[in-house]
Amino acid sequence: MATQTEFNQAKNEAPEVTASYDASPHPLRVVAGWELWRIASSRSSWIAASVVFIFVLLITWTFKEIAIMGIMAPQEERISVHGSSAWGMAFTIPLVLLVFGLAIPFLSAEGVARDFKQRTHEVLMSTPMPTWAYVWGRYMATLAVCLALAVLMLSVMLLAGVALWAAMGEPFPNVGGTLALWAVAVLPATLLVSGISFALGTLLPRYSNFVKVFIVVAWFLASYQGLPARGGDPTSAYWDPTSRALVSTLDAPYRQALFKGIYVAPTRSSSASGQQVIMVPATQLTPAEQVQKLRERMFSVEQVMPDLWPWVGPHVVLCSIGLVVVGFAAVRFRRFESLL
Amino acid sequence: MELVVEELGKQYGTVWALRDVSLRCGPGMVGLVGPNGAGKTTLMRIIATLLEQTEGHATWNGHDTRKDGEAVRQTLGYLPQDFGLYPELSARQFLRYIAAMKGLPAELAGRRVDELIEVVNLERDANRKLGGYSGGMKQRVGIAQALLNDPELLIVDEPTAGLDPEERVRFRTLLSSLTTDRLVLLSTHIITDVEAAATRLVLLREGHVRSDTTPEALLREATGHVWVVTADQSAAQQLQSAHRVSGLVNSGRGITLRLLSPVRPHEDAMPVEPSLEDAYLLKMGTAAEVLQ
Repeated sequence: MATQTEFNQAKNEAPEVTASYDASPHPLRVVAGWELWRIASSRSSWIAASVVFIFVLLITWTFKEIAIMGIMAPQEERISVHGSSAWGMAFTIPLVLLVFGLAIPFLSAEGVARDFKQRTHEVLMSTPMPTWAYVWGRYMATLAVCLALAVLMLSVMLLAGVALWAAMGEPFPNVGGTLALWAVAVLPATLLVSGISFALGTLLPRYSNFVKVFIVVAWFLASYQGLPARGGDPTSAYWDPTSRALVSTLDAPYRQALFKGIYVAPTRSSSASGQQVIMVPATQLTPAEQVQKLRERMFSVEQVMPDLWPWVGPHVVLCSIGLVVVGFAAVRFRRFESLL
Repeated sequence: MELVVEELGKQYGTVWALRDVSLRCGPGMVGLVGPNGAGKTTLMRIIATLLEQTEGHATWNGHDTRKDGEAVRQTLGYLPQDFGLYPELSARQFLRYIAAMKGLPAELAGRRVDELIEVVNLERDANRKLGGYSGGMKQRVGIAQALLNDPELLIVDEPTAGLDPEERVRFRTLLSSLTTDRLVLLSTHIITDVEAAATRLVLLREGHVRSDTTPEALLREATGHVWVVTADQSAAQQLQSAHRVSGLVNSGRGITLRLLSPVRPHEDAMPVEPSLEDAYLLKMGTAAEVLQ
């Protein structure tokens, strides 16, 4: 260590040090920016990003064609939706979101709680940084990480679609439909789940692991709750943060448009998830002509943008709930713990 | 530059960790000394705005630590007793991070970090990840972060705990160099930590101030009460049970005891100059109690 003389000399040569946010960037920007930088410095952040990349790539590849029906007669035929189409994305995005929703609590519940665990809390709390800036700044950094992964998911889906188009002659990805579905399904879920996880982790830092488990279980239950919406009351589907109900709600109008004027009868092997049908002769078309018409019609039907407007209002409310609970945490957060 | 503590008390459940503590301190180093559980950390955390008191109040330069904590923290440097660092960052990165949290503009923060890395002698390891640092090196990073904003009030809680003897000496030298133009509150249960630099000693025990004194006054009080005697095993045992012992050395001639007693404890006992540790032990109680 330096001697007293050296230290005093260094001190005299140095300009006066004043700790004040007046001369610095906005405290919120400081906290969020430096926290993001810290997260980016961690190897585990890049591992998480790589896992998301590989997972979404696998999902996109696996669901490049989604079979919606098997025709048994007049010939065996499979009716599939292209994964990169708007209809395909209405299936794929909620599926990816289901898994992403499980990861969000692990990304956000530790935003403030990590400092308690790593015992950096007291050092940070002895700085003049305002409490509200600390909590909101940490949330902004957490949200930025979650959104970055969500954007990565979106990019991988689109890029994989482009690669499939270029290499395998699949239809070009429906960029508009994908973006709209991503905005309606993924953004609100990210804001809601990250907000609740972060707020609970901030208010109960010593129980952040329980918070994660609680949110994961709640997400599973919400997802399970969203499934039976098929053919039921669509109003409840609009409020489903997991967007599992979105799949079944959007599926019906697509099928309706696809099978308009085409007559099929279910076989014994039909199930809710995999319908097996035989074509029934219609007045104007033979079964073989109906199959041909189905194939031709699929290309146009699957690319039709779904009507997502009914989801917008409820999902804006879900986003707001996420932000309100973070605001509540910022107000209730105490800089100190009264522990012996 | 004044710290005023008036009738401060902190209760945890039914236990009073601190009671009726009053102090008034200006620039210089104040040593808060006492055994473990004396209330030192509680007192420091209240002053550092990290804990709310149950009763009384504390002000720094007129700012109440409870009501106006942000103003207090503007000029505060704090090294907690038990603190962590971000293992994924290097010392330089960690200090830049804390400098930003302290509101230092980027350019100034960069210069200040460089200076402090030199001051705490971490130039060679400054770019290494903190996860691989030894306890002593982490402690040096800790003191550097506390000094980033050149604080007028520097609070260091048990800074030498866990350091090896060489690092402890280095640390004391560094702290001594920091006492000009600021108030340094140093808590410790090792009296030698404050011997060199403290101008004032506040002795705490069971949450109460036992003595608010200076090292000189404490030494004066102990003069004539410290004795050295070399005795055989059985005599040494008798002396140990009858008197307070502040030191013991085994040698070929027998056992040399350093005894605390208002009267000559043994006919061969020779009076010696008291050390601050002797004086502290006389004031606070038995060595066993102090060293627990």
